[in-house]
Amino acid sequence: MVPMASFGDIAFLLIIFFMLASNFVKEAHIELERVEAGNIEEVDPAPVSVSMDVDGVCYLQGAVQPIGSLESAVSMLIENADDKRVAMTIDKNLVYKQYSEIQMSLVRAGATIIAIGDIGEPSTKDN
Amino acid sequence: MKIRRKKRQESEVDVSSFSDVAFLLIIFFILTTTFKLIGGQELNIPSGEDGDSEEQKQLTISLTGKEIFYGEDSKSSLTLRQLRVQLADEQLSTKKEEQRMVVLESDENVVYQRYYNVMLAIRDADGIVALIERDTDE
Repeated sequence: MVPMASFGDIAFLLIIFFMLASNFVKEAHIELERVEAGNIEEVDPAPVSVSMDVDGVCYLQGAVQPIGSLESAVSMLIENADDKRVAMTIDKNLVYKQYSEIQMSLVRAGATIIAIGDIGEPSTKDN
Repeated sequence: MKIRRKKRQESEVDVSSFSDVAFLLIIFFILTTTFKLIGGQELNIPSGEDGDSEEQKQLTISLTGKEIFYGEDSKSSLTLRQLRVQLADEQLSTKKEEQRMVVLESDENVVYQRYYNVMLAIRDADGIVALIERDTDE
């Protein structure tokens, strides 16, 4: 008979490993469809994240943030940081008048914008 | 008289099924987990604070709801593929930083996916996206 007693230990060790190594996304509750493109690179997570959901609601670090005060809030976060990258995730169906202010606020705050998208099939559409 | 003590029964929790449960959990997580690659592009958008007043001829791309116009006076629209070719012809990688600026104008109704594709095209051609801040009274 093969001793199976250690199998349980291995299984629990694996579970503990996955639980500790998993990185849970803090913006999981934000409803948005990311843009897709074939020619974007994989990026390291940025320390600050700004998102705009399908309804045009703006979030900073996963919490609702009025767009009028986004610039000052981001400035405060990156002021003394070495890494000034801000991940910007915007719903792909929003229109310019909704997302332009986010871009402008981040530029004014002195952030290095990382425009987040999903790595997908190269776009076959021309426009 | 000899009293016979009842032999104490040893109680033991059966833990043999724990490993089954653990393996079932692992299988569940392996099957349900989707590893999603997150990609992004770094936008080197100049702040415009130190812009000099010297007028320079800059490349301009204008986006409308359905069309892409290349150049300020352009009347014929381009497809994204044609835009990529035009940008490649500019050979921006050989130019100085200030000459690599590409002004990106957009109508209010341009969806982010299209805008993103154009930003990618500019980046792939080694251009630097420059945004235009419109006055609110316009």
